[in-house]
Amino acid sequence: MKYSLIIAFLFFNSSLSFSQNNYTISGTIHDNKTGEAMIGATLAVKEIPATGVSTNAYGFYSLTLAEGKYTFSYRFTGYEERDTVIDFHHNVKLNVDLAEKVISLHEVNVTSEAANKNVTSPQMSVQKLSIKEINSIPVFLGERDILKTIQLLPGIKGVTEGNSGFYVRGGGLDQNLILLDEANVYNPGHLLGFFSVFNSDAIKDVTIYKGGIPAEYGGRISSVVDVKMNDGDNKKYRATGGIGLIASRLTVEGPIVKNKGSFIISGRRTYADLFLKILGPKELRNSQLYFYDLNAKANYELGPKDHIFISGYFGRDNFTFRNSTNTNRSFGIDWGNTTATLRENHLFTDKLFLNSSFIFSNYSNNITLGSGDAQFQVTTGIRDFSLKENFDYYISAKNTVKFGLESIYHIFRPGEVTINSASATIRPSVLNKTIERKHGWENGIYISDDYVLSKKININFGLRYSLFTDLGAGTTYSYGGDGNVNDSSLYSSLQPIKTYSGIEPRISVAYIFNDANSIKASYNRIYQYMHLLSNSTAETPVDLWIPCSNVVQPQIGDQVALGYFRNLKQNMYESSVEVYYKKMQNQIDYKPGADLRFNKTVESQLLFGTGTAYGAEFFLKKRYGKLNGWIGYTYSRTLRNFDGIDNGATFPARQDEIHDVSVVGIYELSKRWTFSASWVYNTGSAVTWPSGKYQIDGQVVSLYTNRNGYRMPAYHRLDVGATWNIIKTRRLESSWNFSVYNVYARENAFSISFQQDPNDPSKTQAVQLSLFRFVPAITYNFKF
Amino acid sequence: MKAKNIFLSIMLLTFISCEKVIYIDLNTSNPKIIVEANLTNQQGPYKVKISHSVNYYDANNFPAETGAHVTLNDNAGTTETLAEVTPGNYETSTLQGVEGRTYSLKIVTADGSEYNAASTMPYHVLIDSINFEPGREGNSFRVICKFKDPEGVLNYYKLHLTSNDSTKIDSTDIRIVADGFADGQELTLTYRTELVPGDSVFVMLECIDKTTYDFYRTLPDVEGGIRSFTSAPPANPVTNLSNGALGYFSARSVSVGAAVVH
Repeated sequence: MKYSLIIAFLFFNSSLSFSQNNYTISGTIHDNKTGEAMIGATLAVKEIPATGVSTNAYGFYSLTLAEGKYTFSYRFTGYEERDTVIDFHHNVKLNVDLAEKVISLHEVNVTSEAANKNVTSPQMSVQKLSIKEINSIPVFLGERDILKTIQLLPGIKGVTEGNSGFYVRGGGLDQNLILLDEANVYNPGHLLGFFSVFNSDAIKDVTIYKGGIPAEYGGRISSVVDVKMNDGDNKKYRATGGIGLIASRLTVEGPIVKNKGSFIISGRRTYADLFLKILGPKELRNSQLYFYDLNAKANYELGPKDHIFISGYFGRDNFTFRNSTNTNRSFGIDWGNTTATLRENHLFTDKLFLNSSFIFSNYSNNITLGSGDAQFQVTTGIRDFSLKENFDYYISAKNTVKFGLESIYHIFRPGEVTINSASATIRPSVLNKTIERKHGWENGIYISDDYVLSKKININFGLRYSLFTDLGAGTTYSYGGDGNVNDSSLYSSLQPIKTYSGIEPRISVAYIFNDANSIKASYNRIYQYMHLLSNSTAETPVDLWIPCSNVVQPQIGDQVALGYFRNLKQNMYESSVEVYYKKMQNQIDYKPGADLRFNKTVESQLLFGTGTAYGAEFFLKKRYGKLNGWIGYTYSRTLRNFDGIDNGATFPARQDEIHDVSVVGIYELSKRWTFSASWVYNTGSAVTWPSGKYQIDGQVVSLYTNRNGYRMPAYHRLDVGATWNIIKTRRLESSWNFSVYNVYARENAFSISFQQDPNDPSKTQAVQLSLFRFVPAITYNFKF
Repeated sequence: MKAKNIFLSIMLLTFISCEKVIYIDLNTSNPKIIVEANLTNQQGPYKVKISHSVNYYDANNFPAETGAHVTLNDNAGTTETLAEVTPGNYETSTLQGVEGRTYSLKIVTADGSEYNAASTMPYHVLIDSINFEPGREGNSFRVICKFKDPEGVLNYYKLHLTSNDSTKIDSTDIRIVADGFADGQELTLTYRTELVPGDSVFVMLECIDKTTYDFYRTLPDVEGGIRSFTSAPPANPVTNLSNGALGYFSARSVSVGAAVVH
């Protein structure tokens, strides 16, 4: 109630200013070479300091001011600033093209963009990485990877060596909202997580929210990774690509109708299996091991007020192990995401922008077992159909309101068996067995207001109301204390089974001391209506998403964060210190030996508890100059409490890696050579090891005392990279990228296992496995 | 412009992983009581073995718990106190296990701590047939064991294959099976062990209760620890014993079958 009063006040307050002679300047900002809409480009008004607006996800801006003569300055990092003087006595529609700076990172004296936006904006705990940075930083096997590069930022930790899965501020793997053109990506890993599904050639912009998550996002309690695809060059045809050690990429883009519409198609495939065919053991040469993915997008401007976009992602991994000597027997697993997004931008007035999206997202995983003439296939997955309506209302220079709704229909597929067999010996009763699908309808409405309260105080105030209904058809079970089914109820199609809902306040405030100094505070509450069940701590393709139900409650995340932000040397350096405290309710763990696969009463295998995470993040970034990069340090803890584990004692979560340091440097020696290096260090993750042993049925068994009571050895690693740009010709631009992963060949522990001492069977010993010491890679990239 | 694929690749891959023995400073642990107690529908004596756990790096000498007072009783009013025949090994002399009855085990150790467990003996299931199919090599055979699962009840089985040639037995030869997806079906188990004509095999089919099944299902690797960095955290196996003791008390019904490879 209190919240809505404040919002009403803000609306009222701003509507007062309508009575003056105010006019609106609006339009879109594009790259002059490719026509790509620019996200987060800014418009500043030179005559009125601290007044400005930045473009939304579609490059649209709108700013309303009192009449007068102004110098409008359009800015974007790495682009030439463009100033336009306008005698402002009527509404102005102005589309602006910005030109890339010829030598972008070299210049020391860069004042473009509202360079202190990180200080003045109320949004905190946010990180943006440019594709340029992502492309410069050395990575494993030379495959550029957004999800691995973000792990170099404070507060974001990787799952394991070389893995793209990540934890944000002590949250779980399933608590990251990963969006590709607004579509949910349920499993962002290829090749068991060694590569992410995001092909950086097709990506325009990546924003990561670790806290103070804006109200337009909902459904995941720890973070948002918002990935936007390129729209495609609307001026001329281009191809870009790369040839690497294990994968190659090719992107083709061009205008559909010049300056009106464009398309982009980007594909990638690994060829590890080709090497397996040639070099692998004879038995495995008929096996397959690869992934591929395809991004495609097209957009067309229907008129000055309407713009449509259609985009899609399709990716698939395939592992098939086929015995060359016995072709009858095979084991295969293939999985992948498919997303499709249809969007329409509509401009009602020059102040009111609407984006409507229709989204489809599917994740599925098939395990195929071939034996004799029969083939068994088990399919699990999740499928979403969603609708989003997002309005941006640019009320005044001081007040921008966003509001909208989101509605998602989820179909959960816990397990479906199909059998293809020519033989009649297979009994029909085992044929085509299916664990009932589950259905959920998730809804959210939100409003958020960016408000300049005074020269000193900027506020973002948001509120989201979310609602989740578990729908039939289906059977629900209730369980006794022993995990056995007590009772079951049958529901018909679309019959509501159980509804959960919650109010999610989102508040961020910045107090600005001056252009270069501010403090910010934020609070957010988020409900998450689904959980990921996993037998392992990393992402695997067989992980299962389950919705809330009569037994499983929604995850609720509350986070407060406080930060000090300071820019130095005319915004050449940005620095920040943030502290946070996070409470997570209704977290999931598993009973010992839990059986999560193909189990219709899987909910009986779960334990429920709470999580607490807190930490401090220090960040210093040099943005420009020949040498740029950052240093990050994080101190953090993340703890769990479960009644069923260690009698309710607090134990550290696996990702409780207390100290975490990352140093990233990019040095542009000349137009031809760029060097880069990154160094990471973190405390070992928490792990459960035996503290004793005993004998039963004649065998020796480990005795465990505390969950996660031990630590893996500390992890550290240095990677280096170099890019050699072959001088651009008019048609072809190409470069070689060299990198070495783990330069000083640190033997980081991938796993530590225990075994009988081969020299003394009465003793036991620990064995450490390390992967990836000193892995060089080379990639050739081209553009024409 | 015409898109033209230029494919060019250089392979410089050193995927070398390395394994080495390291020393990990593991905590010491308080000794836990470990119980291994069986009761069957066959003739006794039935045995209860009580021992202690030791620290991980100690030698594999597991101290026996001597001087405990161990009693077994059933829900038909029979009670027997077990005699300690060797240190830590306790045996019945008169008790006869009966299918369908629920048995209770009570242990009071010399220091006065009490541990309890209960188990219901399932009804036995007969082995229908033991046959052989050609194995991988020219003259080798594999064992196929069939039995029919009773319909309408949850059954848990433990099968144990032995042969006169003990060197041929591999780890697949003890199996636990639940009938969750095949209630009332005829169950067929094929053993991977390669046998030759003249070998004799012996199959023991035990019907076990759910906790015993869960105990075997959740028993960690012999060598313990975690297999990979990404595995879920290991834990002690499920037990029906109270007061922090580990192990099991299992009332089980047994049927056997034997055959000679020909």
